Amino acid sequence: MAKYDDVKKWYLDAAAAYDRDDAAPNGALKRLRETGARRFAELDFPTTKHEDWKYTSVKPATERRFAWRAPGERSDLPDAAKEAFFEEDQYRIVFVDGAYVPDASTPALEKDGAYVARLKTAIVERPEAVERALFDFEEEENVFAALGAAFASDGAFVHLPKNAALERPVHVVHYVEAEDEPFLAPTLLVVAEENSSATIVESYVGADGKPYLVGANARFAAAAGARVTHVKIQKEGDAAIHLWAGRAKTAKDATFETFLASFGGKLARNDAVVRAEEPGGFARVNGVVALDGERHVDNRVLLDHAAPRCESSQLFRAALNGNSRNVFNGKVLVRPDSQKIDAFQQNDSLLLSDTARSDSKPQLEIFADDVKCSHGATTGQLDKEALFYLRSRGVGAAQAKRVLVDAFTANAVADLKLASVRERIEKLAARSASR
Amino acid sequence: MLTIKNLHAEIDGKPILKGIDLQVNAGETHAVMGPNGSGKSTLAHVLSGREGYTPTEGEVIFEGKNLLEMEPEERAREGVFLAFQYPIEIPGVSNTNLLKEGLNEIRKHRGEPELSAGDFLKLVREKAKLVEMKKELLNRSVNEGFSGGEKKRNEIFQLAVLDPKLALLDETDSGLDIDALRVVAKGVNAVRNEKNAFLLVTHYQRLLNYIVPDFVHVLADGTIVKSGGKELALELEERGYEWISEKAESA
Amino acid sequence: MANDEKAELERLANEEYKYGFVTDVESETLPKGLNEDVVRWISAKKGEPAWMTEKRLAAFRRWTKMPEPHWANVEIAPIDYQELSYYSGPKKDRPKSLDEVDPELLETFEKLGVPMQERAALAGVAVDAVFDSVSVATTYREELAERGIIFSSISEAIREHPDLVKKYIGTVVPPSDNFYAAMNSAVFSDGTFVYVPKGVRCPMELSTYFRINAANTGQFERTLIIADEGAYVSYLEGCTAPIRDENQLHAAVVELIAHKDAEIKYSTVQNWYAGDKEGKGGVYNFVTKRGLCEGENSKISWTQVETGSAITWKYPSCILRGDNSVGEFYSVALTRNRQQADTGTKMVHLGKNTKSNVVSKGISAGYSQNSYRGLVKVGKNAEGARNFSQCDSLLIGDKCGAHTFPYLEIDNPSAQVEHEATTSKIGEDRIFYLKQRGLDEENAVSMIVNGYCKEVFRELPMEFAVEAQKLLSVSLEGSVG
Repeated sequence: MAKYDDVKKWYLDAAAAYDRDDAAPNGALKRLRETGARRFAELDFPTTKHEDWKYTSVKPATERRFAWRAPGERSDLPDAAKEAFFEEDQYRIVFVDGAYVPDASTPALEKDGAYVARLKTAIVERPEAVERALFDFEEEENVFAALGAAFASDGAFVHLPKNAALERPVHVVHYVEAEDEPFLAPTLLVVAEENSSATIVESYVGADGKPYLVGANARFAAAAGARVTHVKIQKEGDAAIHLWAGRAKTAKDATFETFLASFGGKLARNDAVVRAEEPGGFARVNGVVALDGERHVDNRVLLDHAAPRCESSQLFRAALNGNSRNVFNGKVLVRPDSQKIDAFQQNDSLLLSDTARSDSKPQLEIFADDVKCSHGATTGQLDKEALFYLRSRGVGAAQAKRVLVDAFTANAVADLKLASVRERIEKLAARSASR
Repeated sequence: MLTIKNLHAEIDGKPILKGIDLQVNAGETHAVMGPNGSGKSTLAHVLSGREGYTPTEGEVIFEGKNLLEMEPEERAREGVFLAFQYPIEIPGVSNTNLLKEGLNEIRKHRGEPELSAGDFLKLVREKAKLVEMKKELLNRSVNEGFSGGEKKRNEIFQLAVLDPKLALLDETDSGLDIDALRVVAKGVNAVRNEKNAFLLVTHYQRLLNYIVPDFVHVLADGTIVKSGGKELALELEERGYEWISEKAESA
Repeated sequence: MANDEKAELERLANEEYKYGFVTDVESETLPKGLNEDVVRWISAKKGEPAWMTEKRLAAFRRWTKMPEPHWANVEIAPIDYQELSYYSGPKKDRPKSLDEVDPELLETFEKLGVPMQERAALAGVAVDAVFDSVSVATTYREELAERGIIFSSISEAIREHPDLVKKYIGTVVPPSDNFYAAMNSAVFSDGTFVYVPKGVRCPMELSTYFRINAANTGQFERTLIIADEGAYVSYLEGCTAPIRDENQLHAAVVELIAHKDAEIKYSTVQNWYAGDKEGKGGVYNFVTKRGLCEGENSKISWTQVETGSAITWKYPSCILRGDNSVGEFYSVALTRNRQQADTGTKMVHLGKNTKSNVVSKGISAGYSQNSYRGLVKVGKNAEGARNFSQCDSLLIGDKCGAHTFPYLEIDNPSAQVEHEATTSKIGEDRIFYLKQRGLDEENAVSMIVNGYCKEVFRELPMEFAVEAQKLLSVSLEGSVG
C-alpha cells in the first residue's frame, strides 16, 4: 500500500487546497467533500485480492497523477460534443473538459414544478433539496466513489415534486479533449418524489489518445410510486479512465431502471447499487458492452432487496473483439425477512476474437425462503445454425454475423422505451465491436 | 357419506361460497354445474383442504367426522380424492413411487397391512390398463412432460389405485378431446360402485353423457340454485345458464 | 466410562445422528501441539523413509508461514492449532490379517454398516477402514493384487511402494496450495492408496471408511488414487464421528491422477457429526480434493452427498489437462440447525475439447448457511472447451441462507460455458399435492427433496444411492414445519 500513499496524498492535498480556496456558497457540497475526503483517506486502493476487483486492476487509475480541474465555464463547443446530443433532449447540461458550457445548455428549468439545473446553480437556488439528496445514503465503500465525492462541486441536479412527469429526457453531456490529463468528478443527483417520473441520460464522450480520469457519482432517490429511468452512454477514448458509482434507492412501489452502455476506455467501471428499502420496488440494471482493441470494462452490480415483495432484473450482454476484456460482477442480495422477492440475473458474453476475454461472477446471496431467484451466465460464440439459416436465405456471412451480434447486444436495451436513445446505443454497439 | 351444511368459504377475504347444502350418499354420483366463477371449483378445493380456500361458516361431515378440521392428507386417508383441473408437474418424483407412498399411508390409516412390492405392481398394472395409461408414464416423474390428456388420465389412474370413498373430479373434462374423454369416463365408471361416491365439477354437460350422474346441482354465485336428476343437465345444455339465473332472480 | 454414558445420553437426546457413539479402545495419542518433533514422531511411527520425513518437514515449515484463510462464507470460532493432538491410533499394531483385527474395531465398523468381512454376499466392495489416524484393516487385498491393483493404506504404500508414492504424492495438491493442504502434508495420518495398472478395470468398488473416535484430535486423511492408461476405478468414502461437545478437525487432502483413457469415479457420503441444534460441537471438515486428468480422453467424476460436519469447506476439482478429458461434479449438500457449508468445484480447462459438467443441489434448513462456490476456467489454449453448470438451492424455513458464487473465467473464444442457478423455497403446491395423496408433511418434503437430488444420486453406486437417500430423509426430520 505504501506505494499508493503518495497518490492518495496527491489527491487529498488537492481536495484540501480546493476546499480552502473555493469561495462559492456550497455548504452541502462542502460537507459531501469532507465526508468523501475522509472516506478516501480511510479506504485503500483495492488489489485483485479484493472480491469486487478480482478481475480489474486499478493500476491505470493510480499510475498517473491526474490534475483536478475546478469547475468553470467556457463558451466554445467542439463539434464532437454535439454528436452526443439528442434532438428530443428537453433539458441539456453540457460540460467540456469539466467546464460548463452555458451556450450549449438549457437554462435552469422549472416546468410543472420540476426543477432541473447545473449542480453549481442548484446549490444556490435549492440548497435544501440538494442537501436532502446528498446525505441519505450509506457510507461509501468504493474508494473511487469517495475520491469523486471529495471533489464534488458540479454536475446536474434533478428534482421532481409529487406527480411531476418529464416527458422528454434530461441529458447531461460530458465531453473531454484536454491534453493535460485532467481529473473530473461530476455529480448527478436525482430526487423523485411520490409518483413522479423522468428519464435522465448521461453521455460521456472523449477523444482517443487522451488520458484523463473520471470519478463520477450519481445518486437517485425514488419515493413511493416514482419511476426513474437512467441511461448512461459511455463512449470515451482509448486512454480514458472512467469510474462511475451509482447509488439508488426505491421506496414503496417505486421503479428505478438504469441502462449502462459501455464502449470502454483504457478502463471503464460501473458500480451500481440499488437498494429496495420498501415493499413493491422494481429495479432493473441492464448493460450493453461492446469492445475492441485493448479496452476493459467492469460492471459491478448489487441489487439489495431490503424489503419484501420486490422485483429485480439484470441483463448484461457483451460482444468482445480484439484484446478487449469484460468483467461482470453482479449480486442479488435478499436480506432476512425480505420475502416474496423475484430476482433475475443474466450475463451473456460473445467472444468474437481469439484474444478477447470474459470473466463473469453472477452471485446470489439469499437469506429469505419465499423467493424466486435465478441467474445464468453464458460465454460462447454465435449460434452456427442461426448463421447458416441467414446465409441460406442469401445474407452474406459477414452481414449475417453482424445481424446476429447486433441482435444479441440489442436485447439488453429492448426494454428502454426512448427509441432514439435505444437506437443510439444499438448503433454504437454495432460500431464498437467492429468486426 | 358427505353432508354439507350451509357452507361458506372465501378466498383472500372474498366470499365465494355463500351457503351450500348438499347430501351425498354412498353409491351416488353428483354433478355440480355452473357458470365460470360460480364457485364450483372452490367447493372441490375447500373439501380437499387447499390452503387459501377458507371456510367461514357451516360444516362438512364426512363419514361422521368433521372434514374441515382435517389436514389435507388426513382427508385423503379418510378417503377423499381430488382429481385436479391443472395437475402440477413434480420433477424427480416418479408416479409409482408417489402412489406407493400414498397407498400405503392410506392403508395404514385404514388398519390394513402394506402391500407387498409384487401386489402393488400388480395393482398398478391392472389400474393402468383400466385408463389405458402408457406403461412408460408410470415410472416417469409425476406429470412431467405429460400432454394435457395424459395428465388427466394420470389423475384418474391415481384415483383408481388409491380407491377413495369420495372422489372429487374438478373439471376433468376440460382440455380433453372426445376420445380421451371416453377413456377417462370409462376409467371412472369402472371404479364406481355402491360403496363410493363421486362429485363431478363441470361446466359442460358433455362429460355427463359418459358419466351419468344421479343428481345434478346448479351452482350460481356461491349457492345451489337448482337440483334435479340427470335431465337437468340436458335442460341446461339447451337453455344455457341464464335460464337458471333468471329463474333464481324471479324467485 | 463416564464419557460413554454422557455420549449415550446425548445420543438419546439427539436421535437423528445415530453414529454418535464412542468406541472404547486403548489408544496411543500424542500430546497436544504441533512442532517439528511431532512431525518427525509421526513419520517415525509410520516407519517412513527419510525422503517422506523431509517432505513432511518442508510442508510444516511452509505451513508456519501461511495465514489461515478466511475468504469462505462461513463464520468460524478461532482454532488453536496447538490445542489439538495430531496423532491417535489403536495401541495394538496393525494385524496381518482380518482375523486378527481387534473385534471391538470390527464391531464398530459393522455397526456403522461397513462390511468388514469378505463375505460372498458383500463381494463387490473392498474396504479400507481408517480409525482416527490409522488404517485398521483392508479387505480383498489379495484378490485385487492378482490383477496388479494396489489397494492399501497410504502408510503401507509409502513403505511398500515408495517409488509410486514418491512419483505422485503432492503433484496435484502441493503443500503450498493452501493452509490446510500444507498442514495435512506435514502431519497426514492415514488414508488410502490406490493404483490401478494399465488397461485394468477394477472389478469391485473400492471404499474407505473414515471414523474419528478420539477427542481433541485432528484427522488428516491423505488419499492418492492413480489410474494408469486405460484403467478404471470407482472409489467410495464414508465418514462418521462420535458426538462430542468440542469441534473436531478433519483436514484432508485427496489427489487423483487419471492417465490416458483412464477413468476415476470418486464418491463421498459425508456424515461427520454436525454439532447439536445450538451448533455446539461437530466436525470442521476442511478438505482439498483435486483430480488431474493427465492424459487424453481421461475422465474424473466427483459425486458427493454432504449432510454432516459443523463446517464444510471443500471444492473437489478437476484439472483437465489431457485433450478430450472430462470432469464431472455432482453434489448434494444439506445443511440444517447451525451448519455451514461452503462447497463447490473448480473445473480448469487446459486441454483441447475438454468438457465439464456440474450439478449442485443445495438444501438449507434451520439456521444454516449453504453456499455454492465454483470456478470454471478456460485457459488460452483450451480450444473447444465446454462446460455446463446447474446449481440449485432449496430453502426450508425463513432463518437459513442459500448462496451461489460462481466464477467464470473464459480466455478462449471457442469455449461454450453455461451456468444456471435457481433459488427458491420448496413448492407449497407440490407439498399440497402429495398431502392430498395421503402423505404427511415430513414425508412429502423428504420425497420432494429426494426427487430434487435425484440427478446426483443417480451418479452414486447403487448401495450408496439408497444409503444417501435414507440419510437425506433422516437429516430432514425435524427440519420441517
